[in-house]
Amino acid sequence: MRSIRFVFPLILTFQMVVAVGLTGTIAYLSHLKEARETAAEIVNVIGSTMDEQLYQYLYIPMTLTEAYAERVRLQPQRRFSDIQDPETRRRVIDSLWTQSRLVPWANLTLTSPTGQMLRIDRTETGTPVLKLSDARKGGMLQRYLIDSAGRSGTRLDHGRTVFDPLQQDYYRDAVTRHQRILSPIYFSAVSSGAPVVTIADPVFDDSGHVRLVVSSDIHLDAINGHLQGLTLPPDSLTFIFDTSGRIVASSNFDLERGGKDRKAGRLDDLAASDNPVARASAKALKERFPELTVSRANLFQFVAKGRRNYVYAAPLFADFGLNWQLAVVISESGLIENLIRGVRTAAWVSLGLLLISILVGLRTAGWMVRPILTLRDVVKAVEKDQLDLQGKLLQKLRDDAHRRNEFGELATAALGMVQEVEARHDLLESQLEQLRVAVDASQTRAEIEQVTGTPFFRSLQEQARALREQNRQRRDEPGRTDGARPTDEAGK
Amino acid sequence: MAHVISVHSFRGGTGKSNITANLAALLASTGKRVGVIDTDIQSPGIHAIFGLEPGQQKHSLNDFLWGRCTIEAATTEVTAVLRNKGIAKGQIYLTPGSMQSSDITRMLSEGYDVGLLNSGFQELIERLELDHLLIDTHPGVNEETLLSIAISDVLMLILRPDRQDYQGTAVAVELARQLDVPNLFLLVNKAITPADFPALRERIESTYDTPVLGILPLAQEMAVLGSSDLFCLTKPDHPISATLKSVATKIAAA
Repeated sequence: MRSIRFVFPLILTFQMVVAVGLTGTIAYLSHLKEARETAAEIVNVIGSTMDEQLYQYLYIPMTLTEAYAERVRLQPQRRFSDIQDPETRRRVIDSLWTQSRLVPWANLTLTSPTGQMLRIDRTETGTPVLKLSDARKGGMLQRYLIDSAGRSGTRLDHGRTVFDPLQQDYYRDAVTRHQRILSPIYFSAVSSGAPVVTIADPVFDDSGHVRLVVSSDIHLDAINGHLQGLTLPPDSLTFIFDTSGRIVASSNFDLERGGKDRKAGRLDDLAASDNPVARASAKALKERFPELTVSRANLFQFVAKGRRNYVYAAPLFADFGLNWQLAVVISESGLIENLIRGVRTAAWVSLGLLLISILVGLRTAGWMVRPILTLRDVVKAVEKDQLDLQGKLLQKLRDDAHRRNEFGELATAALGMVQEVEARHDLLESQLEQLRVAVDASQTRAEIEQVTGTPFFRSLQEQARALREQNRQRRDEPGRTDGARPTDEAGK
Repeated sequence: MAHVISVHSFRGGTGKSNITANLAALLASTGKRVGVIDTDIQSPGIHAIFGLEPGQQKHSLNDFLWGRCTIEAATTEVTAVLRNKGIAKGQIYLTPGSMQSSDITRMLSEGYDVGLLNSGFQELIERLELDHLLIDTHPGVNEETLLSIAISDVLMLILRPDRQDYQGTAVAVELARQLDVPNLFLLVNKAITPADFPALRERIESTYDTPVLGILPLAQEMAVLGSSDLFCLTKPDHPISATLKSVATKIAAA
């Protein structure tokens, strides 16, 4: 037999586990899934936004380069030597003011096939200047201020430079290919060895001779600075890499600068860095994109040391012909830590409530089962005629009878039944005893002998008849009954 | 010639005093002069049934036994219990035991002249010209009980139908026989299941070889009334009253 003492609590517990536990688990998983989907969406938005922000770093210089090249093409009579005219130079400087202020990460450069070069640059203190150099004249260099304080066109200083623009790869490539080109990353000698890419657009005359090459050096330091200036959640990492594994820009690392070894930062360097997120991210990217080519925007996750990270990876500047990839890595804890903590807290609370529910359920089950078990024990005891009317069992039944519910009614009815059974039992016993007119003869004899053996009894026995006779005679004596009866005043 | 009727039981709680009082009332209601003496000096109680309050009586049986008064002075008429119920005939005289605990204690410690009891009984019968003298005895067996039994014309033993009373009554019956009591009767009180009464009467009579005058059932109405009044006068039509009346008739005729 399976006792309800165990079956009932078991069923109740099972129901609670299924009802509360399953609901809690589903809610937990659902909320967690929702939170992670939200996190993924956020990362996607961040990545997309970043993609758009970075676009300007190439788009604007390229547009300006094209615009200047087109302007030169529309003025075939113009010669580079016109810049020597102060008035022409001043107008050119004025026209370059906006560009120098709004696109500080790019150096617009005009190079003539004779080695003359006009370049927007900055002094060590960041003041925009126009640099004019001539490789033919021993690298003669003159710098003119570009400002809005009325000093535009003022020569700042002069000197010499060994830089020969005609020897630069971008110049040769543009002239050779007769089209606008975007150079690979290189360390620019004219920009103190900073890593740059150069957009170069050649302008030819009607006879096919080079008139001018308009170019813009785009400083990767600016992109790097942009990434480092982003406000992202803790443990986030953003970097741009190319298909060779070279790190173009990174939010967490300064870029290698051109030096003697000219060693560029690489994805392998990240994989071996001390930063665990960078290390795990580089590994995850290489696993997911073995060729380091991201054909379209991707969103994926990886778990490193128990921590979930979201990765947005997308091709960057692909329409400019670059093979760069943007990777934005944001850890779950940094992104939705509060949300996850809330979900987990809710899960723990649910678990706690489940335990409390089980405890309450078990207590309730006990509360419900106890009167039934008591009733069973009482009925069994009555059946075996072993019920102790003063015992604990009946006391339990009396306690149950105080309940103000059906259990109480049941216990009261059972108590009444027990009392009725006991009363009938006692009555039956009395009836039997009443009819069992039994006398212990030996005991009777002993008790009689105890009395009749006394001198008083023996004396009384001898006198009894005589005493009665004497009394009768006294009462029958004449004169004793004569006269009127007493006046009923005895004792009054 | 007056009847001396002892009402006795081997154990207490048989309803002896109540039955004695009721029999006295029933005998008196036939126009007889009836005396009742409470010789249960250790635990007197019959006075309450006759409505006698403590202090209402100047003297008691105890005083007579100590020589302080005559038996007549220790006796009071309680005929009012009949008159109050509209019964014009008969008289009842009660000689109660002292209700004061000091008297009871003294009686138990010092004792008394048992022989004085008999002369007291006789004197009371003579003085009050009683037709019947009912002696409410002390349960069990002691000297005054044996004396009461010895001088009785009728001894009625009250018993309840249980093992102890059956045993004790056997002793009382045998002692009564050895004292040559002329008329010995049994009365069963507080019996259950009236359907068994005929069989019960037959068994008891055959066991003790003594006639059973009646069997009184255990009645709630009697228990409710307790010792506050006379049942047979309060509920004259009750079966118990009918049985008691029959018993009284048989005793009177004995």
